Amino acid sequence: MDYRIDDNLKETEIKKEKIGWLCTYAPEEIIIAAGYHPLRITGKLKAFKSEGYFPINFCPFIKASMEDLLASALKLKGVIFTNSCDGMRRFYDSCRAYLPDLPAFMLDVPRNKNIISIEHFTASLKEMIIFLEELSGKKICSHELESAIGICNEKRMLLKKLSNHFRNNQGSIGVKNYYKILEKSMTDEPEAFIKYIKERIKELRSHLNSASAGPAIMVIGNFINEERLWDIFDEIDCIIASEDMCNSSRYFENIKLSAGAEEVLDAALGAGKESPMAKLLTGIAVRQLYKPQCMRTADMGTKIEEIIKSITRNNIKGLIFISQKFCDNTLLLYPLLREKLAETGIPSLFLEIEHNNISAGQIKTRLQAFLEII
Amino acid sequence: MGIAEKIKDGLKTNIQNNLNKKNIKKILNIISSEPLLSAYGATFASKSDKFLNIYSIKSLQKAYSSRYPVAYGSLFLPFELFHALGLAPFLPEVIGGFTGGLGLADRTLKEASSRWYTPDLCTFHRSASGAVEMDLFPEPDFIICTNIACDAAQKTFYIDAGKFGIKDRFYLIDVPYKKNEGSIKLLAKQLENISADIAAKMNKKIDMEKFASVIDYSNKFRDWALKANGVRKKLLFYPKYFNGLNFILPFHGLAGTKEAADLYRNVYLELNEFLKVQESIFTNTGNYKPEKMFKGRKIPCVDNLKKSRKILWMHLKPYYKNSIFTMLEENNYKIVFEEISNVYWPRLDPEKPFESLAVKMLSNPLNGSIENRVNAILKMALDYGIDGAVLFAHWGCRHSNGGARILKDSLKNIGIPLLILDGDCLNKNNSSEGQISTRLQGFIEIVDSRIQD
Amino acid sequence: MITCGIDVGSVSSEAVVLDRSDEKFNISAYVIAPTGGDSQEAARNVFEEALARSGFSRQDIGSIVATGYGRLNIPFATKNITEISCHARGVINFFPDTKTVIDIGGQDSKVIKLDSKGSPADFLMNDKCAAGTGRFLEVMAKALDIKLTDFAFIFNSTREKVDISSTCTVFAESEIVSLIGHGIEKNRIVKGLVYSITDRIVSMVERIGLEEPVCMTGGVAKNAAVLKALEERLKLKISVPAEPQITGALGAALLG
Repeated sequence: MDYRIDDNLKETEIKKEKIGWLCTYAPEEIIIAAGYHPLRITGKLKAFKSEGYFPINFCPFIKASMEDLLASALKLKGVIFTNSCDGMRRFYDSCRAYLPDLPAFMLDVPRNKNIISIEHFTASLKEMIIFLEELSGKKICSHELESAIGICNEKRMLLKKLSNHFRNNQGSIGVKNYYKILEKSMTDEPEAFIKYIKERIKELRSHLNSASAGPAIMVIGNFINEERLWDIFDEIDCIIASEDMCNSSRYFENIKLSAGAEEVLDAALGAGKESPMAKLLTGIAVRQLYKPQCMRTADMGTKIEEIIKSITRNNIKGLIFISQKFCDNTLLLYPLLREKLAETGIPSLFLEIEHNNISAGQIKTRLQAFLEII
Repeated sequence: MGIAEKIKDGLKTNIQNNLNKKNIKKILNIISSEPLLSAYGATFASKSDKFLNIYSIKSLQKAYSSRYPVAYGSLFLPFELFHALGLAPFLPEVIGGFTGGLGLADRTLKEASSRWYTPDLCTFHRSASGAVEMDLFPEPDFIICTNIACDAAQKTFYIDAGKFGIKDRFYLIDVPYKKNEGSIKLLAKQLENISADIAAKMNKKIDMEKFASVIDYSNKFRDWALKANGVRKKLLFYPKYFNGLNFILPFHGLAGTKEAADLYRNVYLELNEFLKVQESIFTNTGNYKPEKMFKGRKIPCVDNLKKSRKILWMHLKPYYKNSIFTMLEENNYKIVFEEISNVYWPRLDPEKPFESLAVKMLSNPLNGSIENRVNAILKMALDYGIDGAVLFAHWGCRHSNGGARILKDSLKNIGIPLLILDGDCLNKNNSSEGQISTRLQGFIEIVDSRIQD
Repeated sequence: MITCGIDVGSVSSEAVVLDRSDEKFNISAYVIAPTGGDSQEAARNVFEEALARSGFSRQDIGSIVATGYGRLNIPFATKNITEISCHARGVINFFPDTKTVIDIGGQDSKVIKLDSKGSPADFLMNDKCAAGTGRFLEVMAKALDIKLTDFAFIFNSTREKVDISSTCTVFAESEIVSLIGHGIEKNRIVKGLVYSITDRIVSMVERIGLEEPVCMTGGVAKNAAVLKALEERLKLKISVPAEPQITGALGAALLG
């Protein structure tokens, strides 16, 4: 009998007060340094009441997340929004208008990558600190932030290890479990999760299964966290050898800065006269802006290069592009990406889904047909 | 538009039957010549109407002429920058809108959809992208865009840059979310860097003297627009040709040109003439003669004027033939102001052009939080004493429609009903005429009954 | 005075002849008939039929008010008023305190909010697709090979439902075919369908802001399953006129 990771993912109790966050550009380390627990809002509830606040053709992930907030099921002390897209801007506005008692902060994230953007983002991070300090009534000092960065980096490193195991030995984790564990990493208390995942990785090392069957594929998307979808992946024969989603790689990649990013960091730090706090914030700003990009960033060319590189490196046979419906940023990458893929001869499958509301039968047929083609 | 319908229809058919860049260029050459137009019998309703048509066509002709460096620009850029740098601006989104009026949207949208632009995306951007794929647009030397007011513009403009092989000449002006001293500085720096980069790529330096004159024209335009808007606070008797939703180019692509300033000077003068007539109706009630006309428009009686309902129009309008505006007219509903006619920015300082333009961008109510837009709309509602507002909810416009509920509730708080009119500015197949007319009539019935009470 | 209201919808047309000679008015006659391909002819037919049943002659009729999507296309009407105002007026006749009207017709669904005097204060209409309308239910019933009138019985026969994710009529139909193919019981599908249409309506109610009492009109109000699901989702009782389908025509006659 092959080994299968323990998927008894019990929710751990969270003792600290919780600050919700939505987008991987929001640095958890600052929330932790402020003494809160960073809890990712994952749109658990099916949009129902929230339909009343947004038009029909509007991001289903945002609708589900608004439902979470309206139900106050998460018991949040506050929420960090990010200026990541038109939808998020209006989500923040609606939260402020219709949930006035829930403190909300809008983190401005630039779309360019250059020295001005770093300055811009750092200034925005400083405002986030002020927001959290006012909420908690206590100052954040640099050593608290430094230790929070340490915790987050350790978690990121462990997730990176887990993703390597998943890539090489998908069967020992399972697709649905893998994404459930990733979600756990964004909701559990970091220390508890680190303990949990260290044990799992140790087990994984000592239980090497025979390789899984099927072609290597790459999955690209925005926030794709559908149990019914991952169930289908578990049922069909394919290996997710590379992934690029905001609830997977874009959450934990890039602990080490690339050479280009190092240069920008040096330039941004300038003469080095800044306070330790300012240095840390600039560091966070550089890491966030130079991590694998979200589709929202200006330079889609680099995004496509990232994807093509990963395709070559991982010997990918086909690409599955999954987007939440009505996500302009993601949907507008596809025409360009498809053309580039055609040059390399890699086929792709385009799937539009609605968060918490997927038509499993249809998707399974399409996935199976796609695998038959490649 | 004032060009005789026959010529317009003839040109439309010509473009439809012979859809290629060369033919578009040829047609533009013909219609941008005023004497030639008159020879064909084209007449204009007024000076402003004539200027609006001629300047729009001339600006297009310039972009198609291959004689000037062309830069694509997204709608909410400070086009003063283009004119200061000597770039001929081309606004794909606006021209994308024209495809609706020219009956070409079916084809451009079909082209876009065959290239995997999903039908849920905004039709302005999809149609423009389709037109680029069909090679209908002039070849750009530069592509400049901004994150105001939406995500889709930046993305489609980037794709265009790839199509034309000029990714190194693609610029995204990344406007910060909030307006404050720091963000003004950062944005001014961006504008300066980008301008310097563009100038360097054209092997020239930024001509600061020219820049100052552009800023001066932009201010003149602003002055005339403010005066015209001032007249409109009282105006109910409008020239027949006037629709404030047509003046996109002077507010955007032509910003910083003498043409825009001249055009709006005439808008002010013409509206002011109508205001004078209107005032005389109120003062000389006894002398009213129903058969009297003024500049092709029947002069209304006092009662009629008093019964006019005042509407604020938000977002844009459909660019194909539709019955919305005749229906409003027939019911004595006047669009007394449009969101797009709002002069939201302070006077520009010719000494500090980059900073001034940064302030202009950051003052745009569509940037940042919806609060900015709500405050701007509420001010317009009070300034113009409106009875109701219409938000045209263009298909796929997330930033605007996403805030519709908040706008509606905010207007409701000051007792003003808002009609959210779902439709599509370009694609008439995506708008149901019957639904639109029922909604509009239903809204009219509600506003009327409220006032009668 | 005798007035007549004609409501020409996309699926069915109705005419009501109203005797308003007393202070308390009487519905002298009403007719409901399919619209078919020619809305003008449908209007004429229901009008003449209602007239014949009422016993009045054409000369007796003081005014003829047209409503519904075909309202602009009825040459013999004396005026036209939207179905928004007409449904509001019709409902107030039966339930004077009503604050919210849910009208689900063949191709349109509407939520109308009434002010303290019973006049429409605000309204919402479905987007152009047929999800959440009578047409949607009809197509689905056909795909399931079930009579619409049996929906209520089937709906009550099970507690379980299957999620129907598609809101588009075309996709929902193929989804149902595939569910049947997977051997899912029809009663669970029916339940899922009813909730899917109900949720569309509830989101419109949410959008406009719920205020009680609520009344439902239009042909779909006769569907007990949809009515029950709506009551359950909104957590309240919904009143329905005895013949909900003629509410628009009655309102038109009252406004004449």
